[in-house]
Amino acid sequence: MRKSKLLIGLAAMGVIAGGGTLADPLPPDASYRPLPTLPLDLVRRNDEGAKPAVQRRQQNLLNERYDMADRPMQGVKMSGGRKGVQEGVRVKLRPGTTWESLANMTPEEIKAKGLLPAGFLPLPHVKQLTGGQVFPENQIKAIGDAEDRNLKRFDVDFDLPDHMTPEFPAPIFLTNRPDLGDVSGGKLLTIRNYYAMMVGILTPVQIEGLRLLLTPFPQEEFNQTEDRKVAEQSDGVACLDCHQNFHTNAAFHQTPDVRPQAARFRLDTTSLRGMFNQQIHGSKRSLRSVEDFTEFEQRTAYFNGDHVSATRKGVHLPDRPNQVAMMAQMQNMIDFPPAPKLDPTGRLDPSKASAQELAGEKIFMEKGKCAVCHIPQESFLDHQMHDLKLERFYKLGQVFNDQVALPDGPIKTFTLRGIKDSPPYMHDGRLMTLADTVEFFNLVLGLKLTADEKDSLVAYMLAL
Amino acid sequence: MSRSSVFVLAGSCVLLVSGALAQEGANPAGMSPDTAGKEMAKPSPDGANNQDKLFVRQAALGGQAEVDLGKLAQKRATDPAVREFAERMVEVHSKSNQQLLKLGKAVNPDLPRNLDPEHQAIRNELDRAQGQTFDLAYIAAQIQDHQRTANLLQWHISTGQNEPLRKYSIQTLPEVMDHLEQAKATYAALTQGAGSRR
Repeated sequence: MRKSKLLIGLAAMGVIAGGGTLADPLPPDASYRPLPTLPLDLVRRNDEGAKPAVQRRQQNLLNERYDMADRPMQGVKMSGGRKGVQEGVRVKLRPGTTWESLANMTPEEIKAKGLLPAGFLPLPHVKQLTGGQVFPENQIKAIGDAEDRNLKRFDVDFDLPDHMTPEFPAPIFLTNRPDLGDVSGGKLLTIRNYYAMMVGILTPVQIEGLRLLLTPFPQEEFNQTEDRKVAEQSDGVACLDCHQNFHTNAAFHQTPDVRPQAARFRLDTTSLRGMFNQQIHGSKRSLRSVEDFTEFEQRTAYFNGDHVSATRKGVHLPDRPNQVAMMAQMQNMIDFPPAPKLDPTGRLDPSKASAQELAGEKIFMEKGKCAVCHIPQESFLDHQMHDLKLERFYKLGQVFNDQVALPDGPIKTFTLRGIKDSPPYMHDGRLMTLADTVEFFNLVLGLKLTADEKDSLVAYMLAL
Repeated sequence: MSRSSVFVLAGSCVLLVSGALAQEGANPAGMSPDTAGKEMAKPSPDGANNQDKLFVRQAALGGQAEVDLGKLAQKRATDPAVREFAERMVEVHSKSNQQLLKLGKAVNPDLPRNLDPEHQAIRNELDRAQGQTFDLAYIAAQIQDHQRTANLLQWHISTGQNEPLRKYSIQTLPEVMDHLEQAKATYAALTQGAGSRR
């Protein structure tokens, strides 16, 4: 009786829910970008007027959440040997807590008392409600010098200090020529120099793929219409403007996959190293091939997942059997940086690794649970998306600099090969150092690691 | 956050407004040329745009339904958890509605007099339902309503101009999301299922 009543009840609700259009759906600008209504000079004047306050607000948030000081580790450099790796935990604790006291509290308790360190929360875009691609100064300068193309926005600047970002220009390692080592010569690949740098090393198909990856195409903020954020009419941006030298320069954007605007999360550019072993692409869309991703990126990174807006700015739809295939093949040639202490199965060679690194590997495989997803013999990937359920620790719906803190949901596993080369960490770059990532997972996975174990994990990750 | 602190915080926002930049993060490109402000595309924090106006109407419509359906459920629900939830909805949304109407008066919203057709249909359905069927139908409708309200608030935070109203949305959103969590948990308890609770 009870059961049948329940079924009738559910059926009745179905009638309500499906019984016609919603009386008041959300307005279209909850999903779609509004059409521009004003001339560029007005927009620019007001964007420039608001910029100091926008930057100040973001710096305040960063300083509240993190210790941003320049403190590189002794004796450790990124793979090109030109940039230090920042040491120590940089996320600031809430008053009255220690990492140990937090680790001994339940998620419910941390949530109720508001004790989750703010640096563990989603990191807002500098200008959350406008969003879009923001490039670091080193990239802006290099492309300005090489191509006379302007990547500087008039409404926002990059927010992280240079020492918290990857080596620039990053070294390039090729799977098809492992004998050569870094083929970048310490230079940034651009549309002006790529041919001379790569002819004789790459195949014709790869060179053509590279040309396309370096060719600027119109983008939401960089284009020729009045709806742009760059002073002059722009040719656009190239894939490798963010993925500098097939790595990352920490340029950021927002996910194209979430709406409304305030709910979109920040995206830190992913390195393309090791693409040959990566089976899913895009932080939320889980596209199944780099070909799909390369093709569809014109709809997403370039145009925010809004094909309507793209059409008037000049969308580029690369031809699948030719152009996409060549771009994809080029990306699949990019290797990880060398890790001389790893054996062919991705495990540390005991004859080469230090005692601390080996201790770190043991924790990685066992107590730390890291290897559940970051499987050594699979390039520290598992080709899955996982939900860490961080929202167990904080109250939903709080707003920080116009960004609503919402659950991230499932996010793909990122590789840990060459991980010291790609700060900041997590999909939105919310963590500045490897030590921060250890504290984050110590809490989120309830690991209760000791101080020594945490240090060993960092030492291990530096060897990957 | 307690109900009274939402009220106090929302009230104190009015004081914060002077000197604050209106929506410093907003994109002026999509702003209407008649956006209230001293200069074109430089919105004043105490001005209001179409989105503010629409927001007040939509939020008032949802809030009114919350109270109306909540009162009904206070009387008719059989499960104590559902009654408790309904009591909370009546209390919180009554206060929140007052606050909204006070802040929203300036934008001259086109306020609804009665329940909108969709909520009226739910009301009619609930009027006919009994016992556990009533409880389930009420909570199911509450999940949908709070989903929509959470999205409405997020949209307004994204697009609104009027700072007191945006602050209201920012203060109200965590409370609404908490209601949504509770509604999902109650539904899961009623159906012995996981429902949509995370």
